[in-house]
Amino acid sequence: MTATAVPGAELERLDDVLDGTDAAIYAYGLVAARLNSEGAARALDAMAVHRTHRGVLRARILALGVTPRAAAPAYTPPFEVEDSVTATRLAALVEDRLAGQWAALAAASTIQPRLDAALTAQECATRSVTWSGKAPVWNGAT
Amino acid sequence: MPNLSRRDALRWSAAVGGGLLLAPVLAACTSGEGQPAPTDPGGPKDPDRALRAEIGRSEAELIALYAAATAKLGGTAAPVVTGIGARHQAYRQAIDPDQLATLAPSALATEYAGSGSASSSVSPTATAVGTLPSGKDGILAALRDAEQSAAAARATQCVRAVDPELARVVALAGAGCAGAAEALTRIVP
Repeated sequence: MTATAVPGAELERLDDVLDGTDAAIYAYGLVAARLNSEGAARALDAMAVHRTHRGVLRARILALGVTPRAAAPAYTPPFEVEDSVTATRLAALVEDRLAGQWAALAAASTIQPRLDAALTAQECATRSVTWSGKAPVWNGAT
Repeated sequence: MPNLSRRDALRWSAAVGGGLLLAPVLAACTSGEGQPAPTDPGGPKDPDRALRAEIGRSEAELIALYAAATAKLGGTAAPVVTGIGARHQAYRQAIDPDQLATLAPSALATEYAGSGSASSSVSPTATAVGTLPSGKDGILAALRDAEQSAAAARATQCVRAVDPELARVVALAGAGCAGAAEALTRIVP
């Protein structure tokens, strides 16, 4: 017995991760603007990674015969991002949340896409720790 | 910040802040539509029994490794390392609640013939407790290596899971191991 794809679930999870990725890209713009040059460079590097993910996610959604929805023009962070401390906290939060979403996408995928999603969840979890210094037990749960 | 519609704000909430609304992650709702989770996770009909046992053994090894590391470290690093290592109790409980890891391989047969997860393979071995270095830096490096090995193993084990919910939990455990490896590099000597 092997895992089987569940197209409806996969599409739903792809849309979730795409939404989280769009939010992360927007968030990193806010983060970069509030950090010093070194921190801003890290934020922009992370933004570039998520832009690459966004392209892959959109391609997968298109392959399922669905047009990916557009990103929102702007997103409201769950707290005021006014300095380097809150900017760093936001970066950690979006990565933590994305790790959980990629894990959920792994569950809705099979074989290579599942492996890719699981590894991407790990990359997000690692980036979250680089911002916060703390590793939650379960990513996406807080 | 531009004015946002309520819908946009909610989208951020769903995309980023919605985690606050998430119940404990294991009670979440992503088992996969049309593919219900086994009614007896870990039971005789669970096609993932062998996989659960395999991961349970690996988590037990990591728990033992952290216990040994904590005993050797002492001082201020010990509670930090204990906190990082405590996650493996949670992973073992979530993935192998019936402690299938303690059963003999012959007891792990499922009622599904040809189960893709009925493998007797063992995940990459964490640093053996008996070979744990004595110096602080060496101990932390050994723990980091063990977490990285566990993360790599969980990614491939996730692929083998039949139950989507188990796949999700294993993927989350792998993410947690990867995060722990990074956190261990940040412990100031």
